Amino acid sequence: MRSALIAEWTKQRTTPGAGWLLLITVASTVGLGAAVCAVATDQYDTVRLALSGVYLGQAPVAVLGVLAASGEYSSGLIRVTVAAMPGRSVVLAAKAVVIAVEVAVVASLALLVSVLVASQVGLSVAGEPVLRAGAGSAVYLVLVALLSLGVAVVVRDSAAAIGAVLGLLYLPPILTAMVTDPGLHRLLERAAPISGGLGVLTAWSGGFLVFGVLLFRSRDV
Amino acid sequence: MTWPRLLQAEWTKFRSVRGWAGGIAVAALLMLLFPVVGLAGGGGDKQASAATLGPDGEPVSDSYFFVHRVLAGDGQITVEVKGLASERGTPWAKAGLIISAGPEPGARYAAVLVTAGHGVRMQHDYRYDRASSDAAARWLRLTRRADTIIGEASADGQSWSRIDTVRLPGLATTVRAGLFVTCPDRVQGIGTASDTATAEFGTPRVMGDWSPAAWAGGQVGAYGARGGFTPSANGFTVSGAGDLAPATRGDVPVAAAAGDLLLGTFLALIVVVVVATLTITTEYRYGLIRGTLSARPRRGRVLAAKATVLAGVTFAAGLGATVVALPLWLRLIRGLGIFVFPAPPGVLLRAEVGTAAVLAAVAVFALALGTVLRRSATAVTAVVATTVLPYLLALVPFLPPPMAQWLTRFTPVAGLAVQQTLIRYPQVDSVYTPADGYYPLAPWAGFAVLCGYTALALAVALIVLRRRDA
Repeated sequence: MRSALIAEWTKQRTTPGAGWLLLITVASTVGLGAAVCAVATDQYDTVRLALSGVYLGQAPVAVLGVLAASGEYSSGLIRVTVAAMPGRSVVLAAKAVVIAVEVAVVASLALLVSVLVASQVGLSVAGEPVLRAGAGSAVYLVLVALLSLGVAVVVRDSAAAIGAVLGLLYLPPILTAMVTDPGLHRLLERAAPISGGLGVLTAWSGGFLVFGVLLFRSRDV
Repeated sequence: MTWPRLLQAEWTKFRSVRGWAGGIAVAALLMLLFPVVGLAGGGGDKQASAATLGPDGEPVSDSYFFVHRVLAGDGQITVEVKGLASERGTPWAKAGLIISAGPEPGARYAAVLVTAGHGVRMQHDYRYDRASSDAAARWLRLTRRADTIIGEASADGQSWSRIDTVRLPGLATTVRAGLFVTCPDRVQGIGTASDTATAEFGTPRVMGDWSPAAWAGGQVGAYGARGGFTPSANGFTVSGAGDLAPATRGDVPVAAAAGDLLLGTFLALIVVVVVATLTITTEYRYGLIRGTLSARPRRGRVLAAKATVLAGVTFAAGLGATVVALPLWLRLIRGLGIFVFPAPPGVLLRAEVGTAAVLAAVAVFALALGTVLRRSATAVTAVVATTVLPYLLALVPFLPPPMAQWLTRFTPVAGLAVQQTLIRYPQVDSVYTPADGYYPLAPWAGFAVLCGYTALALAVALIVLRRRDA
């Protein structure tokens, strides 16, 4: 497992896109949060406003997760990887760990800066609620990265995978706004990764990762 | 290579990849089938009867406090409005004279009125509104001649200027006419607060065959019991709440708008974006781009050919879906008893053609970004983040409303204005949000914003494609 981790970390470190994506994650999260805070006043839910950059920041995080798997498929590197490390579940686990740690660090940084920006423009964000919401948002971004990884392993194509992930993240809120039936409305809201809470998102990410492992083990690369 | 051959080559590439043609077909199918989700809970008689319908079949607000007498045949009424104020200062608080065709809700009427913040106006049959040139006038006069009503205003009660002459077809000989006061809810941010207006009238002067009974007051339409009137030494004090105006989406929440039925656009959009990006990024991934460019060294024309094929295919598929889906679903949901805001055929056609055009423009936008970025995942994300995410943010309830207006005005999402089938009346203040089906830009102006982004992306793609080694 240790060598698998080192291998995956080296891949992430040396892929030129990954560093940019992390930078874009920070920039977009902080940027959108700052833009929202600039037009807001204290009459709104200030903690949610300060952290609203996550709506945009999750997109580059999803790309990062998707590319970690589909990048290997498009370049054919995956054959070398599984030839060198035949334990395929270990490969996937190592990928998941590396991405999770990477995103956790970057997301915490981005959210911390977002909160600082919000307090700079004069919104009252302090204390335990913002700490809890911030930590929750960081976990949310980590889970989004893992979901993307899982979907990418299942689909094996970066465009289709990112389309599926972004569809899953962005469409349910738009659809819930239009659905009038209260039962269906509640179902959509609860089952959607973005509004259902961290437990629901964990189920989505875990489900796709497990499905990905099963396919990855049984399938020719 | 000639232009038709170029197009043919790109068309062959497109149609021979099973996933791409299939993807576009799936996108069309999603648009066709998706409204079924919104319908699941629909139906029921309560929804159809929820709206008060005006003479043209459109939903209206018809509630006001009415101080009236019966007028038989032709006649005239003149009054001075000495003052008008409301608790929360709603600009469209109204006080004035009205001739009403009947007691039933949604009856025809003609009124000349003073408003709190929009001057003196003549309004009739809910939708029609004309301002007087003299906003400071305080004397009002209504004259009935058969089914023609003349509204006049005056600053001093001596020299009169005509505001408008309107026809109320089929107006009965005997009608109720008199003073009225009404006051819509005050719009505050994303919500409204109820308001009541009170007006001081002078003693009305009447000419013609008026019933000898005294002035009687009563609330028209259901709007609580906030209205009332008291005769004073030289006139009346009347208070009332409600509105005499076309209803907006916020007034009739159970009603549907035809534009709602195009909700599948977002699902289709993501599929189209994925396919459109792949048409260029797969060329880079497999190195086919080198073959393409050595066969056709004029790179701009290659990009143009790709864009033409892509736009043509998505437009045709999108139009096919919307032209079938919209009339079909409209019939279906009307059959279920759901009230739909009326929209003329021209507006529906614009929504159908416009939605297909939006899909085509976004497809070309995705192609251009795919050319610039060369990687599918980044390109798809960039396009989705600029075309779907702003709409989502505009819907998010906890974000400030100016943000939603800004997003639907300046981002590519502005193009969805082509789906607006509701009418935004200048004489009605309401919460006009994209979520309710009201966009800040005119339909084709919004589409022009989207096209601007597409043109910009294409220009950058062209420069990059020419300069860069493949």
